[in-house]
Amino acid sequence: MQEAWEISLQQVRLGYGEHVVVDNLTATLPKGKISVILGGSGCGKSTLLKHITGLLKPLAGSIQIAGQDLSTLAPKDRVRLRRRLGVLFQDGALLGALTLEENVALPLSEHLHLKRETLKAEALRVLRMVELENFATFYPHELSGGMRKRAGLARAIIANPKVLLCDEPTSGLDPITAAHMDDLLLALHRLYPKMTMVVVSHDLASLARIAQFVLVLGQGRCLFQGSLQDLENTQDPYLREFLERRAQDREFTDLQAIDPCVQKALEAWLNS
Amino acid sequence: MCGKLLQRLGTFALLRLQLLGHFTLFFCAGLKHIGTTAKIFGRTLRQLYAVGAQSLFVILLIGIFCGMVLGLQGYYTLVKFGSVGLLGSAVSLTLLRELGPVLTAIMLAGRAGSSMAAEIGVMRITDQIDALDVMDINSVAYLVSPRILACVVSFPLLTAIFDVIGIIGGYLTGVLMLGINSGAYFYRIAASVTLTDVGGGFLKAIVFGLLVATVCCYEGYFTHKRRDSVGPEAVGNATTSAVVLSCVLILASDYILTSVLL
Repeated sequence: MQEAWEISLQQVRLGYGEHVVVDNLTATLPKGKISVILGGSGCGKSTLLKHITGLLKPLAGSIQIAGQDLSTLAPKDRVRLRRRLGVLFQDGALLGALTLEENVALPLSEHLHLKRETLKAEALRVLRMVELENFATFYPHELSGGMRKRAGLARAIIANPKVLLCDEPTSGLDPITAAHMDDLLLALHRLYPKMTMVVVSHDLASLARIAQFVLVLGQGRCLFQGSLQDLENTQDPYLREFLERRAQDREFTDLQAIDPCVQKALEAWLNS
Repeated sequence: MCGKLLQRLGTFALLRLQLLGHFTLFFCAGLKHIGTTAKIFGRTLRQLYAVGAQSLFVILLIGIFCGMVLGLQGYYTLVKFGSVGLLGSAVSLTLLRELGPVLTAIMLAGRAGSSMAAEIGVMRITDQIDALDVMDINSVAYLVSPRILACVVSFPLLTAIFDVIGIIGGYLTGVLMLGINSGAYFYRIAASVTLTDVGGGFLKAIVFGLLVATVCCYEGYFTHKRRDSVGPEAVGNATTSAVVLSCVLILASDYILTSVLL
């Protein structure tokens, strides 16, 4: 039986050009577990995911997957390692010119010489997992946001990845669809217990349902890493605010009412 | 003051040179993968339909009017010298050597090239190209090579159609409207047009196809690296740049090719 893979971040500095988003990040995302990367908007969660996939290189430090650093690997080895990653992008990132079935089968149809019927059967197998088998011939623009995300998930798992990376799988979804997505991730975790899953989210309900390990980013650094229970017991003021969905105390005394001139003009227009 | 100006000029020139190098590498990568991707046939067919078949009507329309205008202008110029019999030569040579390839390429840059740049640009800003990369699918081979191949095939074919329709347009005005002898019109075409004229036109069309496809794909592919805008605005700007740059390059390379071919 093959070992699960862990992801190790060593003093990583993430950013774009000279703009540093997260600095000195050291953490280990445990193998075979669901790790949730949590944090406010713009804290670098998706940026971290792009670095783990090798789409971006860290400004400093190293990111190792199963002990191998993507940024220093020889191109052939990097390709070999990348083949074992499955990625669900924020909006699914399905190719608009292909049907759902073609999109989902893409990782297989591009690299393997399989018969069309085999590809179709395999695509339908994973589409059935995400309950989209009846939409196989639909194009991405004909689907809702939640369906596109589920189709993206189907594409991410079709090549049997060792690491599944999901970028905000529940964002923009209604509570029922979001809960459905969480259940789907948990079901996948039961089906593939050796698959390491990394889920980027700022959805607290989702965190409570799926997280087995939590990494919290914010203020340009790692604010917390550990189990969900430890996070719930934390006394860190920022984390408590985040978990209790409280904003920092601010009275908003500097808010201004609309300018009377603009108000008058607006009234005239609204009544015209 | 003078030093600063020189420094700015130098930086500008270096940046342009860097861009040219980047563009050339992109072009070479696109060409290289034409031969290495086994699945290119199906994707090229899809692009041939988009670039070729869907542009056919507009090429027919432009071709007929271009030929009719040439027939009209040619007739009133030649009649002053008493040599209206040469109208067939004038129309056919102008179309085959210059107007056919150039106007076809400019029309295709506006119709198919802009759509290429916009489509690839949208794919870039919606993570579709990143998705291809993480699936270990070479995005240049997947997106750019089929488009280059489709343009190289469809530009000469559409140019040929444009030329033929243009000659028919000249016939409509010259022979049917202005009364030139039909036999003289076609005899002059057969007597003056050589294989070199036809080949030169096709060569130009192939070069224009390569240029338009590469420029449009390049602009779309690097939409995210634009400094003037981001997101949907960047896609719009990339599309505009792609069409404008394609047209400039078509005319500039036409001059160079004509100098070499004459």
